[in-house]
Amino acid sequence: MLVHTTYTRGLIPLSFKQLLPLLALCAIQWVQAGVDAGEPEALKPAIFKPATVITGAAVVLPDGNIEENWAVAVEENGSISALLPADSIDEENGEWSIFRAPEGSVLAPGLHDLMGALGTTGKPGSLRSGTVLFDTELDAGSSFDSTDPWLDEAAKHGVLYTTLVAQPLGVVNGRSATFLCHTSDQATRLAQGKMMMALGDSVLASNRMPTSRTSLLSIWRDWIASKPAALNSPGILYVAEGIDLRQALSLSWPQGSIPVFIHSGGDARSPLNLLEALGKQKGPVQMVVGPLLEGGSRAHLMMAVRASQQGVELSFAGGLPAGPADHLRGSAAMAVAAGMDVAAARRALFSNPAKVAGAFGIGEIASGSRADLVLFSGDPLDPAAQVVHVWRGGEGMRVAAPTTVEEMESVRK
Amino acid sequence: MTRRSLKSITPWLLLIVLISPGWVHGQLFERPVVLQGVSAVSPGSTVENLTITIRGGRITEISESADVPLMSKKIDAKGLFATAGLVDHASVLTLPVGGAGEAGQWSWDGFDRFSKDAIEEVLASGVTRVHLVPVRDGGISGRSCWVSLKNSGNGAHGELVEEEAALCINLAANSPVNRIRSFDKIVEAFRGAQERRDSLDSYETDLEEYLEELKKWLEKKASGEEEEEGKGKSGGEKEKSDDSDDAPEKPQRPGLDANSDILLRALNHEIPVLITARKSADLINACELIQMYDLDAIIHGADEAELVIDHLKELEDVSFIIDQPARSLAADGPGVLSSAPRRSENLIKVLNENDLDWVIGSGGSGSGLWRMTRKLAEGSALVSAQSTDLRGLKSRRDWLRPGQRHIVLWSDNPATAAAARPVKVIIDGDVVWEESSAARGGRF
Repeated sequence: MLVHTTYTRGLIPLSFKQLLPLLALCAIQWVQAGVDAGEPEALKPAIFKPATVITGAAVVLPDGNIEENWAVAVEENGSISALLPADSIDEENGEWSIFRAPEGSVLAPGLHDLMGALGTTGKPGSLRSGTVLFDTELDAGSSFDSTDPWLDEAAKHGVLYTTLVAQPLGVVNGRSATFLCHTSDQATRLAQGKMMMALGDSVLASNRMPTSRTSLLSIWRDWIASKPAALNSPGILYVAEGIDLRQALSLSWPQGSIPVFIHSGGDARSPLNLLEALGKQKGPVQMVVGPLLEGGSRAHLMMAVRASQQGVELSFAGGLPAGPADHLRGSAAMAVAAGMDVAAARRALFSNPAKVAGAFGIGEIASGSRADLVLFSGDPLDPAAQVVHVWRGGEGMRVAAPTTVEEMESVRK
Repeated sequence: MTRRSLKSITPWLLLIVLISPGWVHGQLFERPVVLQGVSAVSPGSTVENLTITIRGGRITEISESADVPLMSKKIDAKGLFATAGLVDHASVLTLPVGGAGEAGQWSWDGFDRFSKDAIEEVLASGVTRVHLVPVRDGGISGRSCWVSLKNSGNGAHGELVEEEAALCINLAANSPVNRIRSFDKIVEAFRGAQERRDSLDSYETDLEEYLEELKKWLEKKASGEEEEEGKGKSGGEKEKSDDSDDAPEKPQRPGLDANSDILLRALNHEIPVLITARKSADLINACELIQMYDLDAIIHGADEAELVIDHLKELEDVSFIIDQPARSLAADGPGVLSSAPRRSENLIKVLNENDLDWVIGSGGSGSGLWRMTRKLAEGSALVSAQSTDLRGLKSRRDWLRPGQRHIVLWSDNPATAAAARPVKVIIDGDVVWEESSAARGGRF
């Protein structure tokens, strides 16, 4: 059993030699904790003082599985200090607030609207690109408006992050930007973002190079051969169609620069076997698909499911505020109904988008992560599950109206 | 068995063959299908490790200790959960949407039985029966029908189950002007139908009167002729011509009007009327129309029912088909003046509290019906999704039971597991869809 526990508060800086005995003691305790995981010790308030402990809900773990009997301790600074066995919490202690979640509820990280227009006050076209073919200076964050009222509306539906990118009109279209969904006069930026690149028809133009796919490929090959700084770390590559993805995979990507593929219109001709082979060679490949809509392309849906079954880590593209509020969960539910593994679908909703956006410390309920949490009334993959409560940086906001007196009394000292 | 005893049995066997050839054919030539180790899901309970026997396309036995018939086709369903096929109460599967409608239009005419991808997508979601609702611009849309999505040969799907399910009227208008226009058009059409009924009634009466008068006239004429014969034949021709002028005039039969005849069937309670109305103003118009013509009505949509619940409660025997159209987040946000219906979050609760009956229809192709049903109905999702009656859940429930022809095998318990998905869909004993073959979905 995993024990995500951190007992580090209150330590003073020590030299490495001074720390050695303490480390050895910690190692012994850690081993013992592993052995005695069935009977965890009660939480010791002397060394651990969270502001709030959320208990009573099952928790979506970083691997996408849901496990019961965990409690999440949130610190005053808005981060998660520990994920603890629920029976280790002394609820009568009085040192911290207890949030007792309703029975059957599931605590998850925030949902993530990728590549949508959430936070641009409904003006996604305000961030133009493509005037310079290799624009490394453009910052998608410049189009973000923190006063956008849809940010709070999205948060009520569990969408706590938005990642903006420029339109894929050039080969390099600046950097993506990820923000917390919170309508206020100050933006909370969560990641500097990744380089947004494109290989496909959207880059072609009649009045400048490249005017054809052949010349685009030639430009791409020359650029990669020049070993640009933009490829020092993995970026995001827009490859809408199967042919775009196939050609992107035929390029000689430098070591450690395999990008996240945004494959939003891919069909059955998508070269999934090549992706699988790439994954086996260089680790899991990330791909953004969708959004999957009711009555949408069955071919794209089946492509996404097959990609997931072949080991590609998926994320679902967002579409807020134009799309339905629950379209991310809707995409996941459709994919699961078509054969996608449930844990993979939850990773596609919560942990993978953070990796796509290059944002650390979000998308997972783990020690040290931001306490951006959503309490669902059931499994987030279940269309019947509703958002009950939302925390942004540890700050709670009730969403669903309480239906019972017990629920009304769920937050108590 | 001796030759003598065989001889004695032969006449009896021949008699059985002659009396019930279908039964004999079923026993000898139709292999029973047996689902082994399946769990059956019903509201509030799940029974495990059952054997379901299907003969002649329908379930004949569900039991924990059934004998498996010889020569049967066995399907290993261990770990799978069986329900009846799901039912979409308002589907537009493969139908054209929009344009002008009239009572004479029939949704079966617009159904494309060869649209294999679209139909298999719906089967893959567990839906086996659809109520095809014609959706036209405001006014009378046409007639709906019930279709079973069974294999009908030559790569086609679909068999007509009920020809005339309801007369469909669309009152959901985008603007007040359209609302008034379409309502007036509908009232005018019903008034025309009533006038036709009156003229048909008066024609019948006039015809009876005419026959009486004709009979009298003929008798009078016959007696007059006899008198004339007695008097002689002088001046006979002149009087004869006078008699023809006195002959009663035959009433004119009203001309044929197929559209009015369909409306008349609705007015005579022979078919129900399905009225699509979403906004409060449309719902009030629907109430007025129902009361004006005493219609057997089903209201489809009813997004703003909560706002006009007092009007709806006054209606007798009205039921609802509700759905949940996908709406943009931006359509409901702060400061937005939207013309879209203000949908109640707890519509089902409101309907239940006011003792108004309901079922769920996708309003689309039907592939998202189960997700929509789970979202709207939660605990009673299975009840809603398996009911085949448009008149609501109270009237009829179609569980997995002997006689059932539509079966869905799920990967998990659909009543409790969010990730449950159909694995096999069986209609009339044929596996019409299965997950393993669906890997070829789309253009794979």
